[in-house]
Amino acid sequence: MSVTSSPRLRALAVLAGLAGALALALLLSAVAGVERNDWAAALRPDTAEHAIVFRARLGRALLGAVVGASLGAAGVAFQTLVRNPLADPYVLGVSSGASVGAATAIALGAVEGTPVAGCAFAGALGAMALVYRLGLVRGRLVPYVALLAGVVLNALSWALILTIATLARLGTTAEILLWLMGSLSPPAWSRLALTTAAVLAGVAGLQLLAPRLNALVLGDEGAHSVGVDVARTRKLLLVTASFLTAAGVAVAGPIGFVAIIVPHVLRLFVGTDHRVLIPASALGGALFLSLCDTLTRLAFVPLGAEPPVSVLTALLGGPFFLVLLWQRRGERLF
Amino acid sequence: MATARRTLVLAAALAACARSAPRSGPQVTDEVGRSVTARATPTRRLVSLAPNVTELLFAIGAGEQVVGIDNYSDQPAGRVERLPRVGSDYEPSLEKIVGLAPDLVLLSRSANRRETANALERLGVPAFITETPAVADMPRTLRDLGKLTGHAAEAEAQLSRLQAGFAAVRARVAGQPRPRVLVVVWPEPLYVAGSQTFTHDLIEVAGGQNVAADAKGYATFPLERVLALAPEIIVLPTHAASGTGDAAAVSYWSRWPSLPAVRNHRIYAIEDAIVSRPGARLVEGAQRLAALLHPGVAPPP
Repeated sequence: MSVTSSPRLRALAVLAGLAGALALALLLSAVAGVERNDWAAALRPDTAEHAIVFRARLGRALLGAVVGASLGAAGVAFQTLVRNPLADPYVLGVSSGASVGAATAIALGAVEGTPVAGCAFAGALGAMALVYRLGLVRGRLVPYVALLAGVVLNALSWALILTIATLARLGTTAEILLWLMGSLSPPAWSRLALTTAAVLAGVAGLQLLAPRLNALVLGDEGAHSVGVDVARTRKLLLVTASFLTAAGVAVAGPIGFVAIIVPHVLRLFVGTDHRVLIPASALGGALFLSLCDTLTRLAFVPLGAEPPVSVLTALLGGPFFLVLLWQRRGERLF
Repeated sequence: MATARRTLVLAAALAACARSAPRSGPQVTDEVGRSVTARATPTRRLVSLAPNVTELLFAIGAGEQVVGIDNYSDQPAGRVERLPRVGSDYEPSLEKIVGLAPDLVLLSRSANRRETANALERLGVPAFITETPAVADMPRTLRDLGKLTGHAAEAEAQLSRLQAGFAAVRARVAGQPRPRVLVVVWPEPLYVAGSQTFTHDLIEVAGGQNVAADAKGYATFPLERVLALAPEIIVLPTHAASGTGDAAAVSYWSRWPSLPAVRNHRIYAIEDAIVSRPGARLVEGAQRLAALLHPGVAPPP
């Protein structure tokens, strides 16, 4: 096809295709559910049908799209930051920090989403600050030191969460576990707006860093030779990507698999130019998570219960990725 | 660390064995089908590892025989505070239990792990597991506890009080329209009480109908189905310390104004222990629910 002959045109085609697919996925989310649709009633505000279509379904899918975008874009950033294809936003402790925050809020009696999300966000930023500081060696952020700090922080956080669960009242352990599994609920509009603003800001920040990320792929010396301040770029990257992750994890809990698989799949299609890869991964993450969440809702019909959305992200994403890996064997993946 | 712990457990077990009489008591079958040899009948020293069992033991007059309880046992207030605690329901301290030299340890299938009972048996401590998934199972559990502790008559009396209490609540709300009730145990992700739960049974007694009766047990439930079912009343069993989260839990639902329960401000937080625990206060739970469901008919207890 002539469209794909130029990398730029090909990139635009992929981005447009992802945006179109995302729109279709959101439309599907509004139409598909366990209850029958009554469109006449759904168009009148204040009816149950209206609340079902626009809030219980579409509102939740929009939140899924925003969280998915944050995970997809942050995944790219972390993989490039630590130069490891296995990295995801959780490996540097951001989600563990969020989990400690959420577990504390739940143990203290918060049953409603907003205080839990607030504490999770604070915990995520706290973990980020700690990893950032520990990763600084003589003023330079050293990726493997940050990675090590993150891994230890993850273990430490898990111990803290188990301690909180042990000390909490009966029943609270299950509630903490529910948060740790990650899930999407129809959000209050204010929370959706706040999360969207934070994620858009984070993705825009990464987009501004994209040319420098391209330079980081060349290695430290290569990046220096093209005039990029590697130390400063790493710091900005860690802060921006952690903020982005925190915004998503705070409202949905640590949803697995999106951040690791979406960037890899899209690298296979658009290559490693971060100016394209970052928006593509944001759109791809949004598409993937909102689609998986719609399927989670529909899974109630055969299963009689909704599985955590992480079950579907892994069940669908895993085989898809393995097939791609097989088909593209021998090509450069990262 | 693990080795040190094992050594301690072993030492405590040996000490306990040395103290205990040879195992000659009668064989009983517990409520999950395990065979248990009690050290003595009736038992003189009991450890309870579940809050509902502790409540029932005190209710049938066996409170004086209780020598240790789990960390979550909180009722009857004023009686349990003085008792030694043996740890959480999932991971109690076996050393602590063995050290109390009980004749029998009582567990609940829903609160404890079977492995805890097996580990206790390996240490020479008989462990009896109760299983009380619904109101219909209360007679069996009460009678078993009565027999084991030598308070069979009190257990029968307690059972009669329970049945009479339910009958009184039923009689008071008889003939009333039965409001459609949803019991939300956790909002995000949404978990509700379906049929085969104590709360479901109590709502039936209190003259309501559980709109989530199609779900079994405590289950995830689609929010859009809640919107379509349009419950008139939402009940929120909470266990937050001293009801601190109640106001927030109620106002959480204000974002769904199409629900009759929201429009009519009929969302109620209620202490979960009295509506979901197979303990001694179920009549109180039914009375409280009846007062919420039928405010004009049932006076608050």
